[in-house]
Amino acid sequence: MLIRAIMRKFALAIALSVLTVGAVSAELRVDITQGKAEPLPIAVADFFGTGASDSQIGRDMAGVIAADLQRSGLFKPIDKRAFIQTDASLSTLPRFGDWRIINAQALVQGRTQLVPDGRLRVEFRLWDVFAEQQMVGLAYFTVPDNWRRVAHIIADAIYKRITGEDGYFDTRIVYIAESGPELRRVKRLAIMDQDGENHRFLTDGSELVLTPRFSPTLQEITYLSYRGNTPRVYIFNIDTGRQELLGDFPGMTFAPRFSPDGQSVIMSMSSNGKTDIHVMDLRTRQARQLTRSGAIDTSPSFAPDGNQIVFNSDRGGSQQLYVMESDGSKVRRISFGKGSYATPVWSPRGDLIAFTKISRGTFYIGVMRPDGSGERLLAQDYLVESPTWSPNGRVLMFFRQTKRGENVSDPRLHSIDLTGYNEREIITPVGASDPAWSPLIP
Amino acid sequence: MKYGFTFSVAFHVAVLAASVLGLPLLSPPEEFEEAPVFVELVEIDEVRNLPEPAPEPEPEKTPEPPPPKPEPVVEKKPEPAPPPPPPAPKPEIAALPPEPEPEPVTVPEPKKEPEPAPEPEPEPEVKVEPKPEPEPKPEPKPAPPKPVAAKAALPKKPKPPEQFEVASLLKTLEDIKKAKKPEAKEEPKLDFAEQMRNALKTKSSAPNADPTKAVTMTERDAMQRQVIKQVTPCWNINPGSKGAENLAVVIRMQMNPDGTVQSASIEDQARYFNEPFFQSAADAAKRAVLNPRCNPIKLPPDKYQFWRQIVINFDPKELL
Repeated sequence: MLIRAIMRKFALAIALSVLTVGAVSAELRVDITQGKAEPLPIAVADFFGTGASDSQIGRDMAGVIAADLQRSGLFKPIDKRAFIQTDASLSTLPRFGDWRIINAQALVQGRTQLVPDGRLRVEFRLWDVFAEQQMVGLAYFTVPDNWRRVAHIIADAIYKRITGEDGYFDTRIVYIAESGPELRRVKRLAIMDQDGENHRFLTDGSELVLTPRFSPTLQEITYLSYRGNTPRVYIFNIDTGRQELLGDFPGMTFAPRFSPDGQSVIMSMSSNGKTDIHVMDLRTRQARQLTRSGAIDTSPSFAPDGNQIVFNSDRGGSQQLYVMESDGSKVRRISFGKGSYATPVWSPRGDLIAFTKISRGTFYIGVMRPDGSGERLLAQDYLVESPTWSPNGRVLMFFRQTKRGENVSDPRLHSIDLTGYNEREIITPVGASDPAWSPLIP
Repeated sequence: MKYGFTFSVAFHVAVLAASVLGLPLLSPPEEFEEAPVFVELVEIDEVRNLPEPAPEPEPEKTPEPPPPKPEPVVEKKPEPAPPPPPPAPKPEIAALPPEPEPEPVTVPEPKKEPEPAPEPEPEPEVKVEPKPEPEPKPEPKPAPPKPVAAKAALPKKPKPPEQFEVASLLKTLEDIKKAKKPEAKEEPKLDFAEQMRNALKTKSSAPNADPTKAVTMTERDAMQRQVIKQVTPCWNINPGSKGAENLAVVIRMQMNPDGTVQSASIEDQARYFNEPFFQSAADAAKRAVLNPRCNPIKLPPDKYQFWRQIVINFDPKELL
């Protein structure tokens, strides 16, 4: 009897465990670890306006947004001619079936309206076509002339919602515009929107300028100018056009760069054959020397948290990359590949350092982790140099010169995705070098 | 007495001998390892079929708790974009034109039929109670009032998702564990013995549990492979994004008998609303299962019981 009871309990226990397994089996569990990396098909419909001028603005805005998204390489805007639903009917509610047919996975739709006080009201919505849900919807008021910037802001909002990363379309590029013959080269400071629009020159070319860098607070650029034939670091205010010499050092100063908080500038100072790194507080104008190796230490760049600095130095014989704490302590070499390394730039998202590498007469643009591991080369040419990060740390811009026979091409700006794909030229009116990407416009 | 004693001795000796000689023979490792798993799985699924008919009355009582519905409507009437003070264009200074700050205003979703936004969550499935008791409190689970629009209102300063890696990975694991637990608990213990007895006595006691339609390991494997084969081409990942190795997303799908997706929902809603990168990855995973190009999934209709609910773990770790 007892045995039978035990047996029964045992059977029940087995049954219980069996049933538990059964519960899991009622659903099919699958792991998917393979995918593809293709641009997302997106439909950007013309923003709908009732009047002639606001519908023109609506069309232009849709064009700018689609171009921004396409240039990122992560989106594939669908040709408008394939659209089935009209902009007017779309402005009430999308018919998702119409958009699924043309394989749009996301849909951007909007309205433009000139309001009586003369301002422009722009609203847009981003739709998930499969889920039939709105992903984001925002409205803006602005002066009509500012429509292009609002379009970039909208493109950023779309980019952020779909990729999870901040966008970089509402940004500018400052660079050195080069023109004239080799021996009498004119170099001017120039600025433009990230897509090459709104181009203008900031200096007249009477003095040589180099290495412009944006302030994180945007209104200012620091750069090197040969005013009076001595290279010195200056600060240029974009709003006022005012130039100001930064500090009065005995020797020449160069390779300036702002700290992440915009409160100080780090740069190299050269005297008596030695080049060391100094940091200057912009409020107190007090400078502090960070390196004293007796070698050439230059091209300093802060980590985004401001706690570390990467720079290049020839203290070990050849030019290599080093990282140190922001007070100059704990210097350690991070580059160990063949060739020499220069112009390191810490990514705004902190995970990588971009650099120029020179090996056997060829230049490369590459990235590595801050500990020196994971080196990847993204571009190479007769001359590629001066990498600068988009503010989200996703895209690099640099300049490229190609040699064909004896002819060396004019320098041109190129951008490339971190993954090494999607290289594009940024069209400039004249030769262009030393690009510097602004942060998102505040 | 004597008879009994000798019998007892003989019996004990026999038992002893059996335990010494017999048992090792009874448990050669190979024999147990091979077959039993298969056989039992077949049975399991039949047994598993049993509770299905029971919850049927459930839908009938659903009309009762419809309160969550009106919620989205309430949420939908955000301020109609009060025209804020004009962004006084900065006076023309030097090189650059004025930069009037465009002010973002949240745009509510356009009015349309009760937006399917507050998704018909898998809640009916998970909460299934074999006992059609009308008593159980109507799950006051207040569907998270999708703050999609509200969040979008401040696109300017998203906190940097720098630090979430390890913590979020742990969290994901935890959540996956959690997700599993309720299922196991789901089976009420009282019914158990009953059902077991039924199942053991007469296999076909359940009307829709056809023993020939049980699923074997091999069949399950085949179904999994089919899902992978069809969904993989529609899963678009973003290879350059930061921390992509910690962005595994679990999507739970309710399937229609024709292999189309009835609904797909993202597990870990909290993370969805708090982490832009996870939100992006989760949306991409959801697009993969909803994409008409990878749908319907060709699965055996007679095994519908076993794929009525599909849970896919999209893990980009190996792709990086």
